[in-house]
Amino acid sequence: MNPLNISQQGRGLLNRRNFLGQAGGALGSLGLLSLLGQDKLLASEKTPVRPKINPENPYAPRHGHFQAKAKQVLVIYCPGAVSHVDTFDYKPELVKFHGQKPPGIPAVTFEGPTGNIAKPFWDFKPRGKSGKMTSDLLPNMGKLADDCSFIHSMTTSTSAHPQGENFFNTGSTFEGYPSRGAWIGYALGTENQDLPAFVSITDPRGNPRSGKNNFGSGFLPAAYQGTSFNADNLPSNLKIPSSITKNSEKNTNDLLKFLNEKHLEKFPGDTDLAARIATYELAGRMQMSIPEVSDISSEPQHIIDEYGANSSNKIKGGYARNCILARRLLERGVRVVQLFNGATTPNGINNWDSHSNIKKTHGMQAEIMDQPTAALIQDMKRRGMLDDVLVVWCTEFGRMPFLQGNGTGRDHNPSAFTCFMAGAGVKKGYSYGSSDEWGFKVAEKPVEIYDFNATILHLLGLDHERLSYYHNGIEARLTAVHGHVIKDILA
Amino acid sequence: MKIFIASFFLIFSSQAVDFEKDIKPIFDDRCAKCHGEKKQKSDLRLDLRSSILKGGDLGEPGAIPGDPENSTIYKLITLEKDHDDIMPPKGDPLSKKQIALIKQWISEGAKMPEKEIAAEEVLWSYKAVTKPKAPLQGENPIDAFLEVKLKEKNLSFSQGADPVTLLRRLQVTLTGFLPSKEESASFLSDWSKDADKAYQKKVDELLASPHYGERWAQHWLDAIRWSETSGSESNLYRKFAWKYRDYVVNSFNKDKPYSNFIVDQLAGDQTGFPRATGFLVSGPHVPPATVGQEPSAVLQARYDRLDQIMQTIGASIMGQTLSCARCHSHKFDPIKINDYYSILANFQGTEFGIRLPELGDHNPSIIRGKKIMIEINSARKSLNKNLWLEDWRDHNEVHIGGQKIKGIRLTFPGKKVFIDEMEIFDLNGSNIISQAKVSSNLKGTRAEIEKLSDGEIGNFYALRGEAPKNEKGKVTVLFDNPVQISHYTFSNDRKRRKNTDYEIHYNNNTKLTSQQIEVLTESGQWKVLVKNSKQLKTNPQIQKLISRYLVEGPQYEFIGRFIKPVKSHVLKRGGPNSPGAEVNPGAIATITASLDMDNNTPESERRLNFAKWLASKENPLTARVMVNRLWHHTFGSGIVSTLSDFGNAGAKPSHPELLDFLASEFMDNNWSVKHILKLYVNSKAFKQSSRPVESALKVDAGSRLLWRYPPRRAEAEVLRDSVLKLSASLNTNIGGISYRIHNTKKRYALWQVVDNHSQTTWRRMIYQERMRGVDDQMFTAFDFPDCGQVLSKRPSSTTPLQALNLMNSKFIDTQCEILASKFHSTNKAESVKKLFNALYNRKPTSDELSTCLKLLETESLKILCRAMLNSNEFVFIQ
Repeated sequence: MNPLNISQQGRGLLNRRNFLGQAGGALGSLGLLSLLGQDKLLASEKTPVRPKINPENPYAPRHGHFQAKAKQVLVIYCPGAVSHVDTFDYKPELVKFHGQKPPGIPAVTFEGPTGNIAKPFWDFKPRGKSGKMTSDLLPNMGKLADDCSFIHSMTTSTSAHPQGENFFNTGSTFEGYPSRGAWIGYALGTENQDLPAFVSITDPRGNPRSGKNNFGSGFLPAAYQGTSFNADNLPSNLKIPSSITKNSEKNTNDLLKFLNEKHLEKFPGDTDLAARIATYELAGRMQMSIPEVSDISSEPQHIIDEYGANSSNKIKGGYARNCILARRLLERGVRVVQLFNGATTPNGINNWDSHSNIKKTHGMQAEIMDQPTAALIQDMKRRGMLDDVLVVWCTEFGRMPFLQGNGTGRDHNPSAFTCFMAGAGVKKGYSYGSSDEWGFKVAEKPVEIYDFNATILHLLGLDHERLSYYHNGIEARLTAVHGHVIKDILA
Repeated sequence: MKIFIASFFLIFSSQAVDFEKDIKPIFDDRCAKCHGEKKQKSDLRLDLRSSILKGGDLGEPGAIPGDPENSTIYKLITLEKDHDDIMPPKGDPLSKKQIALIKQWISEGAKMPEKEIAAEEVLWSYKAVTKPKAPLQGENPIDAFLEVKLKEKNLSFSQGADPVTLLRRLQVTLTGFLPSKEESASFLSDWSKDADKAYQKKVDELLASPHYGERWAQHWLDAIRWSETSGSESNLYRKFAWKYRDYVVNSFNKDKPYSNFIVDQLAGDQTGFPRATGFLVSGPHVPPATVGQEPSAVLQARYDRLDQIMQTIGASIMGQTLSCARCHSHKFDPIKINDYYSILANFQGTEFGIRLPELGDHNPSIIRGKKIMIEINSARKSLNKNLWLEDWRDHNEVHIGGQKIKGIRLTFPGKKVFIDEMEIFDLNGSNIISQAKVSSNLKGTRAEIEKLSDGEIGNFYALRGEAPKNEKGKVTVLFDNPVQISHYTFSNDRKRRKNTDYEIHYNNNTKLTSQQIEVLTESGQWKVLVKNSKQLKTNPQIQKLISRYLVEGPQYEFIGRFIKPVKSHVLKRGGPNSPGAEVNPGAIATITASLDMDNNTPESERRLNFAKWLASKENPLTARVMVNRLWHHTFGSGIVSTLSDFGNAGAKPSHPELLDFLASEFMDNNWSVKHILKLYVNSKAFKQSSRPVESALKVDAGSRLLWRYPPRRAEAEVLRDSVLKLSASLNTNIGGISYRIHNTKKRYALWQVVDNHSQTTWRRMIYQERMRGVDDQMFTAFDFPDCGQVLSKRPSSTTPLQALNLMNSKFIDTQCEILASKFHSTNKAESVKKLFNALYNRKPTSDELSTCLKLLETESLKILCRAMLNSNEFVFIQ
């Protein structure tokens, strides 16, 4: 393996000049500037570990801070807030108190006045050998209970969706922070040099509410931004313009190489120039590999059926194809895949948000998510991929155990909700923490978003306190100045 | 160097508690680990009386001599055992005896021996700017300073750059464009006669070009993450926010003294440049509807908005990371939590939103507006009616022709009523609703009648409620005495139309819903004016005039608005619901102790005073930060590489004396940006070659010492603007409304790029709609910022997406077509030469020419353009 993964052409040129090693450009030194050299500032704290990034190839695979349990991560994100009390957090007390308003319920929550306690809208049954109680809303995912580590004591600090999405996926409720995937790509690079390090698979209906924040690079270099596409819509500008023939494309590239080589001769040793040459080669390989990985026509019929990729429900079919795409990307070594189930569109609710008629809205979303997601996890398990891939299922907050204004839905609940992890490095058939008897607030072992993200980084071999990037006066981190790894769920 | 303050005085009284004997052992045993010499949690140390009296991050004195009950230390040690805030936090609480001793000690004046301590070293950037003498060698003082450091490392400047490279570098630096072949030809011809004179002429010409202002405004907008949308979920367009951008472009073009530029931006409502206050609201904000209903969340959001203002000012003007002191005193810098809230108090009356700019009587829009209003009034008179409707787009007006009445009653057919604002005007044009008694029969948590006439517009401040069973919704306005009424105004959400644009309105919130209108006559009878307001008629002539007024008259603009300030407090741990000690509007106390203001100082005065403090020659930060910013954009990296952080966590200046020299030079020359830039581009450092030198790279790989001019990839704007310019497609108009690349959208939909390439977009990119957090599908990959976070220094990355965008986008495809037809010649060699001259400002070498000609045997000229636009020679500024 060539440790530099630099283009053949760029490499040849550099070797000829024998400059490698000392050469450095102002542009290329991504994150290499050690601004906090002043030991006095950090004497009492952990010092940042700067990833050693070769400007020639910012995506080359890099070692983490310690031995990783997981090499890759799949984040399945459900915008809109999934009701924990209707899915994975079994609360029999809700049945008992159904229709009542016991003391302790606030008068007003996010969207307005509160109503009475409402029992789960779907029945719960024990699943798997562990007997985990999960609801009939997600029967197929429920069957995987023995593979998962559920965290029932999630809390967040906001009741609003966009801020909640930002918080979950960037570690800050505010705009413009680097996404989790960008941080991981920045730290670890990626195994497959023909595909992006971080792919964000959009829902068939569009982007989630916070849009680009979910996969943006924030103040990290743009190189680490997630590439956003899905099985049915490839990245913009991937295709050569219709006016350009294949032959013309080749001729363009040949001439470009010639011009760049001539130019580089005048500036021997400037790695920035060689680095830019290399990106054209990577772009060329991506033009082949992205259509290939996105083309699921080679998948056998039983896989198509298992995922539901030919479902008569068009959105479900699209989401199922996205699930197959996720698996194919991970098989090919993509470091981070983020898969969205839900979007914000101009035409009504297209995500899990369920202030009214939760029966219909959650029902619609579950129909789209359940079978394909379960198939994806099962399929990866069969292929042995869960030894290397950490699977994370999450949402920005939960929903209230009582009705919103005695209507037919539940309001936002930032004080208790459920997420799960499965696969590489986490316990199987395990539940961590708990919410109170109604699922209203966390009762035991609260897990903040910071803790959740710290745990993901830990499983990938990264110390969340040492993965930082100097920005505007501080060593910015995915976990700000917080975060504790949830040690109990580690296998 | 540490400076020691030694001042001993010991005060003991006979029966008193003895600090050394009684108190110090308690502190040493239970407190000193966190609040001692080594560590000062919450910025409090108990071994210093001054720190105890001042207190820590709660913003309250730790001990008030003589008043233990109100002393924070006493309060915290006497809390219940399991209280979250009890001190000490670990182990058993202090014993009753220990508590009693501390109480007595505070009662007796909290006396203790003063201690020798090392005075905190003054942060380098807080020291006054003094003008150092330039070392003698060299003509340009900049070079003289640089050469000292170069010599230390056995380095020297490189030879001068060739004129073509130099011209490209200069023109990009000053105006953001690559030179055309005509420009380069004329420069080369001048150069051959007298190189120095040619260069001088070019510098002057470029500094005088209106495109200079556009280029440097771009950098400033980056530093304050200016955008035309609010961010967050709805990410709504901020109507007329671009007027601020015009102000910035003009200010740079006119070389407005930077000190005035600062004062305008904080207090332009008082300096004759009202649009400049768009600066204050450049950051993102979360609209009320997204914050939710919980009062604590509403307050939190307000302080989040104020923090955005703090970030803007801190990062762009002060080079300070003020926000770090929002919850606790700054970890690295001498910014206390009190400083944060003192500075914030200057903006306690600033709010995100729209206002009518304070334009003088001579402003054309004011003159036009007045003229049209006169026409409207005369049209109203000639109507000679006593009931008609006027549709003012954001609200409706029901005119009743000056009838003398005692009240108005509106009855709504449906149960639900939703009104954000109602005004009643007398014949003098005064809104007199505040003199009336307003009531309704509406029920519900948001049926607050005072919202009807609170002066706050928008649905968040609306009266909304439901009528009781078997009743219709009613709103009644009663006056004590009969008054002559011209008209009343009515709207559901008049803010929306004033605030935003490009939004698809799924219902028209401004229209008068059907309602019955009654007036109470002088004799006390309710008289129905109209049974259903939908039957009211507008007058075509008046409507035409209104339409004109709404275009030609003064408009509300998204440049911030001003409200009555509430009292300012330190917020404990940054929590808006935990106010601590009161603070006065002020500055960073270690620089300037007080600005002589208090919580009664009018809000406009606060902003003005603070702005004057920033813009004063005594302020050690302002000039340094700006000359460094200009340096970064000229030489690729700042003398202080962290442009927005001149604190301990930021970088130290690579050339501290040079920085101070430049800061003095800046202030001595009336804060002229052009003066400084001229100094920069006239230096040897700027004019030297960028060629790498193996031995120098070994010593200084990043070229920070400037042994060569550091090359860099052209920014997004330089690439786009230059392509358009060189293909002669560019519309060079300066200023005005942004060109559109996005769709029109519903409130909670996302912006989508619909057309980023066709002719309507062929303006400079600074005029491209800046939607926060939206990928423009072309230049975001080139580190074009998303305007979420302050980013005065763009990263410069190299990614395959850049390659894909520059090869395959419709923009490049279209521009290649245009370039190819522009430089087409029947003689193929001629075409190649023309194209090299246009894009590279040079002739092709013989093997370049032959390779290109070989390509043209099978390919069109467009393919050659495509390759050249993608080449390093085009994309890199050497």
